[in-house]
Amino acid sequence: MNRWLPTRRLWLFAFAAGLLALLAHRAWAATSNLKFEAQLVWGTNDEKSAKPGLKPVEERVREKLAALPIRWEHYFEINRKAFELPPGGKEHVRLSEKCSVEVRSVEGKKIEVRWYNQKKELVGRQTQPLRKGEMIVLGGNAPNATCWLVILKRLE
Amino acid sequence: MSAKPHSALDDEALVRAAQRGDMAAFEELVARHRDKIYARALALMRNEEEAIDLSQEAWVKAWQRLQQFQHESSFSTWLTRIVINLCLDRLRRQKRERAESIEALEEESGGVERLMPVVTVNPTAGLERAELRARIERALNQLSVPHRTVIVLHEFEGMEYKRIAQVMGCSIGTVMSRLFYARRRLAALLAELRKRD
Amino acid sequence: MNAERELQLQAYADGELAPRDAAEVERWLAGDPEARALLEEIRHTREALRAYEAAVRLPESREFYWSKIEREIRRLEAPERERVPASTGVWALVQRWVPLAGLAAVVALLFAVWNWSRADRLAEVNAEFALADAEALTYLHYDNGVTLVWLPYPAETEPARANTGETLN
Repeated sequence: MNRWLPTRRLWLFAFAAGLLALLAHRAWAATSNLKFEAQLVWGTNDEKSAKPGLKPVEERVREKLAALPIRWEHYFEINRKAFELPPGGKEHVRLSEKCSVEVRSVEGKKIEVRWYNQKKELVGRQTQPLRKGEMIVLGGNAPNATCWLVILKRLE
Repeated sequence: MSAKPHSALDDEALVRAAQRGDMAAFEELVARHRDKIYARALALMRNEEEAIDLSQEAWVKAWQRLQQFQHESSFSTWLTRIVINLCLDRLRRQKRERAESIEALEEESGGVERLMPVVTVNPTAGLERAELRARIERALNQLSVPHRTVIVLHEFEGMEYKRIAQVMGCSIGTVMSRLFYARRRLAALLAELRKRD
Repeated sequence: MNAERELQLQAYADGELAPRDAAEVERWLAGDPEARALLEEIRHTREALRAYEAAVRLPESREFYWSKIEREIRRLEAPERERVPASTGVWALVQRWVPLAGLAAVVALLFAVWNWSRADRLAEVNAEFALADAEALTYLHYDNGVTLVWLPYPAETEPARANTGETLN
């Protein structure tokens, strides 16, 4: 009796099962909506926000921002919107009167984020994959040595 | 004495500066004429992304050919010709034969346009700019490529029939028939949209 | 009105007739209300088209639109040996040079089974970035799963520059 035969079959079976599971997962991922959250955030070194009613961002977002090469100590949330993106679809998200982004699903795995100015002109575009839990942060300087941030986070 | 900022110079001065390699002068020309060049491309291509790409390609070509511009026409006219040629090349490559043959049949069959009642009311009078733009775009979308082309070349570019015939590679008679058909069809489409108000 | 007359009327409206023929059309128009109505229709359509073109606005900011033109001009003017294709990156090079279909299939399977490597992820992000201004910075902190795009303009910069955020004055 050949002792190697069962081992070889076991390896082939494991490989085929793994490949099938992976393909099934990919097929499911390709047809499901992607879930996102967009946040408009104000960054400052003052402990209390200039506007009453603004709450600090959640701790895990604060930790991620703290690890970036931007220098503010406190971040307050101005607005937040959750939305879903179907495969091949797009969603326009207005976070304030002056700030809106458009998120598009491209090439199955990537998303394209477009930023618009107050005149609704396109001023920038970023295309990249964004996996669950990852974020794209767009930011710039605001008056009085503060900053604004638009945080796009993939939830699912 | 400080030099005038580019925004204070007229087109001719900007072109001469750009011909000497002043890219900031060229950028000022782009800022001044970008809407018009984009509008020409959009009228022909009916697709925003393509119109943006082709208009940018036209600007790059204009920079490369600047030394050939001899100020015989306005810079704007010279540039619109570049973008129109790029659009026509792209349309020829895209080969929308099916739509073109249907329109050709309609023309050859003795003039569907002659059966359309004359539109006696100005169909776009009193419309807000955005609404006017939307209606014209919807109407232009329904024209075939040759009919849209003749409208752009005549109504937007102000080309004479003879010149249009050269650009489109057809006879003057064909230009006149297509132009007439396109105008009547546009008038009918705009009147139809007005009726829905 | 026959087809020939209609095209003659159109040519009159377009200023394509010789003076003698134009005068003849004017005499005809004086006595033909249907012809006058058709002429009016042609003029209304022309007005509408001209008003349309004046209303069209390019939907990109001045800086963003120019940045792509400038980039292409500089790319074309660079010496031949320095010229780099518009889209580069480790992944594009890999796609171009991996020769064997079998090897490509194995590589694809490895990508499907394991996470992307750091270098490939950076190339994926940076290869497809376009912003109004080359001064904008992209920073990829892939341990943390965060991409930062920072626009380093002063806060007082006019709105036409790439400032899409809230100002809290």
